[in-house]
Amino acid sequence: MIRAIRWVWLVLPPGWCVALFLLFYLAVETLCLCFSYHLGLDEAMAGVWRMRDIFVGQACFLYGAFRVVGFHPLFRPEYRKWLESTPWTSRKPLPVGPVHLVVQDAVVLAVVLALLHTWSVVLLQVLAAFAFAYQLAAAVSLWPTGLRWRCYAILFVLGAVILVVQNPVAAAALLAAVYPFTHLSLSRSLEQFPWQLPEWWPRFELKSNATRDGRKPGQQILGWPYDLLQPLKPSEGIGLLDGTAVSLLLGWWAYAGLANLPSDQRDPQAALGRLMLVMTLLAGILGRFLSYCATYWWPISLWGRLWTRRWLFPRYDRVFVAPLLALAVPIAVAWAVGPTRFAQPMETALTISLVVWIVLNVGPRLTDWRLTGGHRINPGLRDRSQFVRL
Amino acid sequence: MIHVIDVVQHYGVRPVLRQINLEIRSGELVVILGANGMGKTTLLAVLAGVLDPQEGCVEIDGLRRRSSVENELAIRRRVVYLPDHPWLPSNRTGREFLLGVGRLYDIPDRRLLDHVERLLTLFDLAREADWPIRSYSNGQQKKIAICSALVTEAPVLLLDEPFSGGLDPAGILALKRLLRRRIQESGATVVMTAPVPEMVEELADRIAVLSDGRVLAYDTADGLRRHTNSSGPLAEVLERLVHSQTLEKLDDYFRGDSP
Repeated sequence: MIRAIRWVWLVLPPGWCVALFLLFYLAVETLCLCFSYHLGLDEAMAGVWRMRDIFVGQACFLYGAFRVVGFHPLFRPEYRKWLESTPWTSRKPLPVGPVHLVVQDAVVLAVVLALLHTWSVVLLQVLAAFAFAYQLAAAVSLWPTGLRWRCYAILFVLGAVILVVQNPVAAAALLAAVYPFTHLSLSRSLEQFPWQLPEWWPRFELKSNATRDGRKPGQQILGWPYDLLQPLKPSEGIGLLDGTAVSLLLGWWAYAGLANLPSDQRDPQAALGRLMLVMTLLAGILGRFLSYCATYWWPISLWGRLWTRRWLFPRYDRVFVAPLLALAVPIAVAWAVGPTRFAQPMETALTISLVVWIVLNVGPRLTDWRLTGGHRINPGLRDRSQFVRL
Repeated sequence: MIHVIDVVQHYGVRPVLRQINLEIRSGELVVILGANGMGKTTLLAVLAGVLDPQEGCVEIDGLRRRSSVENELAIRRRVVYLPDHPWLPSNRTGREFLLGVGRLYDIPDRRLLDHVERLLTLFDLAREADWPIRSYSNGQQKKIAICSALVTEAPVLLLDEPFSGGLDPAGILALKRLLRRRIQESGATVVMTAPVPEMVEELADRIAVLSDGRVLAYDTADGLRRHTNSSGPLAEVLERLVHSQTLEKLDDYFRGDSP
């Protein structure tokens, strides 16, 4: 028995997570049983049982993500560094545990499904939640390891899964169909170990005990002026092809999410569409401003511009072109399709795609801007707790 | 060779630098002198590429600042800038900091380790080398900041008031001698600012005197003496060039005080 538990434990999350899950499950199950006993299994009780199913589905979703994030060396910097110092190759098993799905996963999922003690479509939905999260995390792991097009391909299929999520059989079929590709891509990604990771990747790694004072490994913090005037090429930003793929992907996911809403609820669909659009605009414009202007300030104050009658500083003001274009897109689309059709799934998705494309692709490129822009460099917005100012 | 060509810099309405033209030859130590608020730090920031002047430009070894990605990176590899108030990483040790900066400038590891050791010894920081920088005194922080500029081995050093900020006499002496040797042996170019002339007279090859955003004079110490018909120390020369109004104001002040 102990051997069996150890065997299964290889793929399980930390003990406290399992304990927490069991505790919550028991609480919800007890609550459901109490309600059933006192009220009887009528229509109203279906909602209570549904709550339990959702809880278990969410737990499986998290477990699916954990199976990649917890075991893939990409997400664990110290593990990765240690692995780099060993003769490990992808032909050998990963020392901490497999990142591919194994028999133990089937056992864990079987136990979880048994906990639902039902024989309905819910089982398929819970399995789909696991498979969706697992493949989502796996796809994300492919990007920094250089398999970006495989990442986009999987994410496009996952968008289709969202589109048909009301039909669990179709969703499960899609997930099953794309799984071999995900499996092979993960293998290919591990074959390419050790990876040349992008410089921004450490920001997304799991924090570990060895990261001191909030710094992530590999992050250079040398203060002012070295961090901002260093003789190394700064981040290139995202390329044109990647920017296009990401914008199409986001539009596709937005369409899938909106079209998935029942057609008799048009108002919520339109409201959600508008909300998505506003959020995309805000996130895109704000993100762009922060990465371009946080420490690269305008060369002269607004008052100075007015007083000296120099309204434009082309070498600085070019940074406003992309945000202004992004703002203009929803207005142009609304004008072109008319207010009634604006915020319908297709129009919203197209607008989101265009906005994201502009934010990611319209110049100046980040490297050009930082090295040749007409700005003044100001270190004032950096995290002061990390530095002493002389 | 550094060329400053017709540089005009505003932050707001008032121009801080007005039509500045300077030529700094390779292997020269130039001191920018001037009273507070006259534009010394701004001029150095323009040379360092921190500011993009509204008019004019800066060329370093024939490459124009911010003209292209390649030019700017090539300039950055040759130039190190130490502002008056650098931000030092508080949790790193002095040694880690110097090694990090050296690696940024691609100094080979063996040479870097040796250079760091020699710098720490020269500036009396050997004992504190493995302490976090936050535990350093002001003077020690100034020293480690200076060491960081020196460890880059960049041929052009732009130093904003390197002798201020609590540097002790031993540190001042070490820095003066070290800069002189760097200029003599490797042909380094040094541009530094200073608010007072006493510290730099023996050091400077040429002195640029800044007042109200303009270059009042740019010459050797002897040239400035000739220019002002003065034979006294540099302080007296500066008094005649820049502070003549101060003397008049003093006269006015005491005249007003008399019964």
